[in-house]
Amino acid sequence: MLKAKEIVKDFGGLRAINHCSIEVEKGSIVGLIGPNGAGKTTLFNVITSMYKPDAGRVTFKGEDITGLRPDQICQKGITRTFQISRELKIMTLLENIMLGFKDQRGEKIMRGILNPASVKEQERKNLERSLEILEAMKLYELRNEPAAILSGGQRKMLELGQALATAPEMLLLDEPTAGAMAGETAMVVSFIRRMREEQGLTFLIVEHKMEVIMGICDKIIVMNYGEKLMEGSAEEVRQNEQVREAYLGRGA
Amino acid sequence: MTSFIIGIITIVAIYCILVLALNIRWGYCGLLDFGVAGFFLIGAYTSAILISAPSESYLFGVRYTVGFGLSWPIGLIAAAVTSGFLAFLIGIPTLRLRGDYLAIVTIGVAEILRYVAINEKWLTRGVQGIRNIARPFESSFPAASLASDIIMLVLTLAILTLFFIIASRLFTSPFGRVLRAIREDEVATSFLGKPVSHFKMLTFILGGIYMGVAGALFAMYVTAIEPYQFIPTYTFLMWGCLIVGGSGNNWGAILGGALIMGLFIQGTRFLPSISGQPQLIPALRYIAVGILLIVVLRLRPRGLLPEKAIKTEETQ
Repeated sequence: MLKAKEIVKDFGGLRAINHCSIEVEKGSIVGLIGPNGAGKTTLFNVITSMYKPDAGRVTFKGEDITGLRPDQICQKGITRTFQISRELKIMTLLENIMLGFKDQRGEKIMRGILNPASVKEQERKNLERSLEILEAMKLYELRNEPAAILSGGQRKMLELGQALATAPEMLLLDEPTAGAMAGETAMVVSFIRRMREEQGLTFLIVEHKMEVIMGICDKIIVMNYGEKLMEGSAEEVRQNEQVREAYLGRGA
Repeated sequence: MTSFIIGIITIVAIYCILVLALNIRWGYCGLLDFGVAGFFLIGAYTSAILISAPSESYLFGVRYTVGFGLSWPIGLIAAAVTSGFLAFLIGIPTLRLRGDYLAIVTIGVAEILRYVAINEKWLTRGVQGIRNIARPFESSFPAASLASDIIMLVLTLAILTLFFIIASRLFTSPFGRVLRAIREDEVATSFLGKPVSHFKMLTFILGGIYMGVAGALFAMYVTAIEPYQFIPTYTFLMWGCLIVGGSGNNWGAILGGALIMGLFIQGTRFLPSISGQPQLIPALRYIAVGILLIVVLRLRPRGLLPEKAIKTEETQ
């Protein structure tokens, strides 16, 4: 479904990603791991067009999406979340979710002012759906509070909910459980599973918590120094000598 | 006295349109606009040139060709169009960049326009200014009459009301929701599939249209405009109004405009001069505005009428 081929990204003299290729199959959950500075987030940023790659192409469902604007990437069906969650703090939880929906008629300036029945009807539908999402995220009670009051884990849930509102085909989650407590982590994990089962969503996940990655991923890609070290099942990754070295250093 | 009060309400309402426009740009969308006076100027001069009677006169050897003698609604619409177009032109290179670039460019363009108005005498009559600008229905009600003042007041309040309603509806609409999201986090908003530059451009143009119309009303109301009426001080007075009133709240914009432009700037015109020093009161005005700003920021940092959180369920 998503293919990144021979991606190269330099920052000045530093090569953050060096001819890295990855592939994510439809309906799969793929984990992206590696030590700090391996280039995982940079690869995310290249795929979602936050950065332009210096070489290489990104294709989604066979279509070249390299260098599109971030909003166009989202329109194509890829939504991402951030390592440090970027919820909109002054806006209420409900507004955060409502913002996510695509093709909102009221986002056209004239229809926004005139607020015809067609806009109202769509808003009502989106509102219902938003409340469902908030309920699923266990954030329903806080729906009219500003997002700034949320805890770290709740922020991650809200961001996930916001991403869901965009009706994506594929989600790129950058450390979805960072800053979440144990219970919240379990919730995020079960949520990812459910979204795959119920809606057939495809996931690419960067995560540092190995128990999370090992538990939910069909395939794990290990990066080191901007290159793909290996890919395989959780078991294969666990057994791999090179991976251990990358994480723990060479044994004495 | 009646005409004085009508005059003050009219002029304050015109400035309130500017504050409202600044609220749309900054309060809704976070666009750092320091060029309010420039958009005001382009609106005022456009309408003044279009609605003034045609004349070809010589003054100090320069030939002036001011005036097309068109009707006032055309002046108003043209002011909206030119000012909106100016916003579009400024927006192309700046809106994709960080906010501070917009600030620099807008204040620069506003000053350039003022110097154009000072120097291009064939078009603007320079510092002499354009005089005898026609008011609506001037043939029946001459400019000095009370009836004419009332017509200007009604016209201004009607436009202010219309603009206020448009701005308020926009704030709670899905369009306004995107603007508030952009204000908070442009990057996150773009990753949610919103073409951020497009939204910023529309907002900037809408603000320009408001300011241009305010300029046209100003030209018709004062009937004589000159470059000095568009110095950057006015831009920062509008910022003062918005900050005191409450950024992000349209009622706050109006309150701030009424308080600073009405009470502090216009209201103090009738104070007797202190111990024969005519310069003292104008200077004290700005000191008073400064103190008001400090006090409000200290006690109510989000303004007298802060932005209200939107309860989406209630707007349904």
